[in-house]
Amino acid sequence: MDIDRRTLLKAGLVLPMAATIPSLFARAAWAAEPGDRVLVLLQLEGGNDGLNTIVPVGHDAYHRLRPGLRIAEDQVIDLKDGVGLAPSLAGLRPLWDDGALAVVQGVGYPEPNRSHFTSTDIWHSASLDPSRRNTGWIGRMLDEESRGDGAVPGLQLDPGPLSLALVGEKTVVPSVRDARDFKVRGGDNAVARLEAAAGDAKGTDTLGFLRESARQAYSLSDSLERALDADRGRAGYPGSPLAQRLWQIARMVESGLPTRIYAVKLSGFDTHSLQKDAHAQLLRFLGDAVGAFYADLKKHGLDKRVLLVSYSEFGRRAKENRSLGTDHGAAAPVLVAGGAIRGGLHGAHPSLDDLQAGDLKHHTDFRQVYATILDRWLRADSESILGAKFKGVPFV
Amino acid sequence: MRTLLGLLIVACPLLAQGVEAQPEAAHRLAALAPADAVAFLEMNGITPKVVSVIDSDLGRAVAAHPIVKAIGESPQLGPVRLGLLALKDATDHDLESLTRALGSREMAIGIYPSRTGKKQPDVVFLARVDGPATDRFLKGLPLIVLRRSSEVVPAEGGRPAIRTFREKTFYYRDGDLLVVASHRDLAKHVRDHVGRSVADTAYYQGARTLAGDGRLMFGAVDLATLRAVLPRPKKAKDLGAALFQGTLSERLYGAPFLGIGVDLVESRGQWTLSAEALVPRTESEGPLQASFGGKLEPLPFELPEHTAAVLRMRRDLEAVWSHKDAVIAEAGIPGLVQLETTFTALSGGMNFVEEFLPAFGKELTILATRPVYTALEAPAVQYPHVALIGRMTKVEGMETKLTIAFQTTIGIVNAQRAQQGEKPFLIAPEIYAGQVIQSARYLPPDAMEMSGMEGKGLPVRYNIAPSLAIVGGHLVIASSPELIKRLIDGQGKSGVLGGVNAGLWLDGTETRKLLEANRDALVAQNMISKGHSKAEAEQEVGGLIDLGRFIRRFELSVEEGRRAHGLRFEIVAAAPKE
Amino acid sequence: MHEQLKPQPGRLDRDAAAHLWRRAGFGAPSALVENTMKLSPVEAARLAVRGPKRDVVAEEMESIYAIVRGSGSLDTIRGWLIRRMMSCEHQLREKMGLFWHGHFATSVRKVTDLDWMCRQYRLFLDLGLGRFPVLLDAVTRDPAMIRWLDNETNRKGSPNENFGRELFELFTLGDGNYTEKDIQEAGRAFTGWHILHGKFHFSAGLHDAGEKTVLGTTGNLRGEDVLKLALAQDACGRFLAGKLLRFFVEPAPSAELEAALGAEMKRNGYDVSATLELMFASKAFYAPSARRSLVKSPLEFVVGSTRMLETNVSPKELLGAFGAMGQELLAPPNVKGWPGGRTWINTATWLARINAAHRITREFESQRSGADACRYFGRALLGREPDARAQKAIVQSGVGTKDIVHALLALPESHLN
Repeated sequence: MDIDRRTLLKAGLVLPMAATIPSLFARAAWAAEPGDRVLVLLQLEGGNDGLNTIVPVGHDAYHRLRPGLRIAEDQVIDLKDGVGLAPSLAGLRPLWDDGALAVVQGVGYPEPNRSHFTSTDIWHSASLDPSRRNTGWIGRMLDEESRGDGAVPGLQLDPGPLSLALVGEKTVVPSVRDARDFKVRGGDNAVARLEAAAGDAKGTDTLGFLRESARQAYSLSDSLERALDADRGRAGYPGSPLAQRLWQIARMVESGLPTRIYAVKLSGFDTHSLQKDAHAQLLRFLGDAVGAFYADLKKHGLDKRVLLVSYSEFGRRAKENRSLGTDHGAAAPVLVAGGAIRGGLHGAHPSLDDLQAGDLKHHTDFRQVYATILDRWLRADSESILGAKFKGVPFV
Repeated sequence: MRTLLGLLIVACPLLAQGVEAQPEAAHRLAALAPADAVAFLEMNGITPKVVSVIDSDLGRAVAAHPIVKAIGESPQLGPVRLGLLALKDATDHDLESLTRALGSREMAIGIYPSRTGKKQPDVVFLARVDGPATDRFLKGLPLIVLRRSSEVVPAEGGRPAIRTFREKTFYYRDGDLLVVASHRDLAKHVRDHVGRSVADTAYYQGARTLAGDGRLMFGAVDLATLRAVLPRPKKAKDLGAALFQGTLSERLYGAPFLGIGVDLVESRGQWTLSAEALVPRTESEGPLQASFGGKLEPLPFELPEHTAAVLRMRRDLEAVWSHKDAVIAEAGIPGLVQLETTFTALSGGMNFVEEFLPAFGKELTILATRPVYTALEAPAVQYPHVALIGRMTKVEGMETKLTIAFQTTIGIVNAQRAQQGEKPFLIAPEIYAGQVIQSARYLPPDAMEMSGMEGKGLPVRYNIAPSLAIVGGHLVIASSPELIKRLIDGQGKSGVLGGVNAGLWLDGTETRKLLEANRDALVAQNMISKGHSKAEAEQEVGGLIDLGRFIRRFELSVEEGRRAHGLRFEIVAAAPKE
Repeated sequence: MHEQLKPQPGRLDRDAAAHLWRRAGFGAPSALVENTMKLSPVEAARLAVRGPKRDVVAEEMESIYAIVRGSGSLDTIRGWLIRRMMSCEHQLREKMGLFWHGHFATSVRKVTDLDWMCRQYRLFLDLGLGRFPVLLDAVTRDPAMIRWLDNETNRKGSPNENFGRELFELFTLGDGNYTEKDIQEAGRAFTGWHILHGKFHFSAGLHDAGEKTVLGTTGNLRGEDVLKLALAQDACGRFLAGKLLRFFVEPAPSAELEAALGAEMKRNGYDVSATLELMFASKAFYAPSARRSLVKSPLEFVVGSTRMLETNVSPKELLGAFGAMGQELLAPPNVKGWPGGRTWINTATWLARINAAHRITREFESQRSGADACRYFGRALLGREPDARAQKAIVQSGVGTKDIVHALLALPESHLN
């Protein structure tokens, strides 16, 4: 039965059926909680220019600091309260209108570090102490939650090394370029043969554990293959790698995988010169991809299960440099998207008249954002994970 | 089998050497073969001299060459392998007797759809043979083909009688004509002259018109028939592959027939082997073809000293980009989008599609030279210096943006290399003959890194000093500023390598020296990746380098003619000493 | 001596010999397994630990070391290390290299100098079977380690505790056998242990020569003294013995066994070879409950499979697979190394293993086929024939030998060590 369906699917004969089968099948196999919440980490690598992402409206200082790079007020998408979205983030407009986009302003940490590496490590480890940056905040959360059942706790979809955020002591988070890498290679019926040979999972000994893992893995491979082969919902997505990865995540969420954490990345934000078009282009990728992702989730009734947070290791200097670019800075906004969040602006835009060594001052510690996500979204214990209690931000 | 294919690749045309060309002779064999052959290959004569070629160092080096081996093993060559079956074991068994038996006359191989409905085709081998040696050869044939003695039994009545062994090989001899077939009907059809012959077919005649008469070797392939069984060519995986392969496979797939001609010339101690594969030009060329088409202008640079290889192609990048969905597989598209964004981001906002691509002329050249180092600065492994040269139609305003792109890229590369534990580049622009060369290089190694490495050469990273300049209206991106300087010196001098649509030129001597300089590294790589012992690795690498001793020059080009499109290659090799 | 550390009596049978070579190496071809079957456990342990008189493969790999180092390519260096594991005859030397790499887990991602990483791994290969104090001394002066643990910033007046912390927690004593105060004071002893021109350099001016109290001893202690003090603790022997037992013998050894082997180890001056010889001959090692009780690491699985199937795969082609399986040489996930055991396995890494197995069998050639191939290669891989149910599932009509071997590698049993 199983094989027949796969064969038929490949032949494109039962595409309409495919819409319902994977999730039903996976649910049964995985017994994943339908209410399980999913977190998507979207890292903007290189230091995103927050000032040209969430743009101040009606501030003379902005025009003075950014004579060459400023975005005209009539172009920004007004968010009220003196700020607007950069026009290239138009893809996020529907989220804002739905109340599914939260903008946490002025996020940073004390004594900002301007090294890409160090600051990225600080964000990912959630630690200001250099000797405590061996594990990441999500990795530690997964360690605490670890069910030890061989399920994939988190997944990085990026060709690079595993993000420190996902590194735990007990948990191994896999990293793949493409979810299709989970396809089992082998001759015809490979999965069916391997599954039969693996035997039934019995007992709690190591062999039983391996058998159970194998069974789950084949089931995952099977449901992923169907979910991703079907091209379901793909039409709305742009062709960028980020968008394609988000599409895969939507399908994985839909097929009921127990994976709660996904990590993706958009690179190129280190815009030291002639930044305007380049930065706009990057934001377009961001906005269009996240916009398509949200629309897809919403259409399939999944938007309330998924929270996406985009962050960068630092913002950029308030004042543009002489190459029409911007140098490494400090505080910046964090964008949160999801159907079950409290959208809108959280916190004020950092003052352009009160800079600290040329940088915007933070008023919200990034660990407050983490604490919010850990406590209220993932229902974990932020205090033990972050090593201290941080006041939440009411976006969840 | 592999050995034989390797040998044949070089030897087939050589088979003809030493005979006064009798172009029409083999042609007559086509008149004997049944018309439904999907491919027909003719060779004009064979000589004992072949033995000396195959048995020479060159022959052995070619046969041992990994590329030749790979070709020999490729599944696409299945039918050819079968076609050569009769020759194969015979050759392995006793080359000299075969050569003498079949000596000095013409032969042909026809490949047919299976007479029994199998996947593998049937094959007929026809040859003009002479004398008593042939009888001896035929007596030995069962032994040779089946590797053991086996009773030969009559298979078909009539005259001359067709004989078979094991119902696998059928043959008869009629005067000076020897016919060996893999199916009795094939042998019978030849003998009884049933119906039309290959020579009567349109594809054979068309191929002859294209490839011309008087070739030492000639082949005709019925593409129209094969198309029914061949898979459609796949789209390229990425942009590089798409540019490289152009529309060649599409053209081949769409053409009614293919003509192959091979020639061999010996003069002043060297062999020049050339081969052409031609398809007729179609009347209307679509915009897709046009974006890959046209003829290259000669390269307006003198080739730098020690040039080992040049790859050139005429491609309209802007047009190719706009047809990308048609030429690149779906999986490759996100990569292109990434390229577009990354480029735009890196270059400080120069739009890749709207600004950069239109500024490109239609010519791309990749050039590789053998680096020459002093003992002190020589890396342990020596990469060729490589330059990518693109003709530009618009230079104004580009320089600044490209400089930004270059420096930003180096910054990003440095960050990524650090993650891999590799050292960073230092950006160090140079001015040469009034021209700015953007360049990045490594600081010299520290003493500790060199400890225990005395006399072994510098670490491999010293091969690479990414450099960029605009030279004479061409954007040049190179792995060494020295190479850019040589191009600056050679600006406007003798233009070479034009007139074709795309081409690869290889200098045997420089390539061999390059390999020679890396012998130890190649041996090490061979040991690691293949698990060979040092002796085995040295032997394999040595064989590869030895090949370079004979090959003086290699050319492969895609040509566009008024009547035909084609692929042409030419090898110039040192004639083996007798 | 602890009863479980006494030599196992008798001679080895096939399963025991295969067990020994899977643990004291990466698995052995059938001929070696059969040869070992004639030996007593003590003789077999001696053979595994001391290795052959001459390891020709290792010598050849040494002869290309300079080129590998100079390649500046992480992939080439990894390929070289994996090829060593696949081919070197003195298998335990390679296995211990991997053990120490996990013990002193250092990653190129932070060290950012490939040559330093190369030189560090050499220490594990060259000193890994010698006396632990010698190795420890070399590693604490190793540039890659100094950078990895931020000791470059450890100076008088502003000590960095990282080095002291990991020295006690991860390298010698284990959690609970020292105080935070010990760490701080030890950190001071290592002030000025820096790097100059890619080499260890003691910056006397930056060294805190004042009085410190570490592990109960007070004095103007220097780094060397701290190492000696750590090695003098019973906890050190116990900690190292525990790690060796968990890597080589069983996932959860008893506290008594750890203490007993630790005492032996401390008594013999931390002689790694002597300790391993004792361990590989012991009843504990051959206990039925110890056999197939460990989960193979990706390297053990891949390298072992090629050795036991006597097939050859290019290590470089498998490098990507190691990332997906969760074990990248020279890039362990963090300072604690690979956690190992069941954490090797989740659905994603399982699929990566199955696909690596597919790669291993892609060019696999054999005269054997069908049920015969299944039994023969099953025995080679598992030390015994697969059970009837598995055989029945694997051998189906029309399934080729490659697919049969692939399915054998995909058996959960093939991932047990």
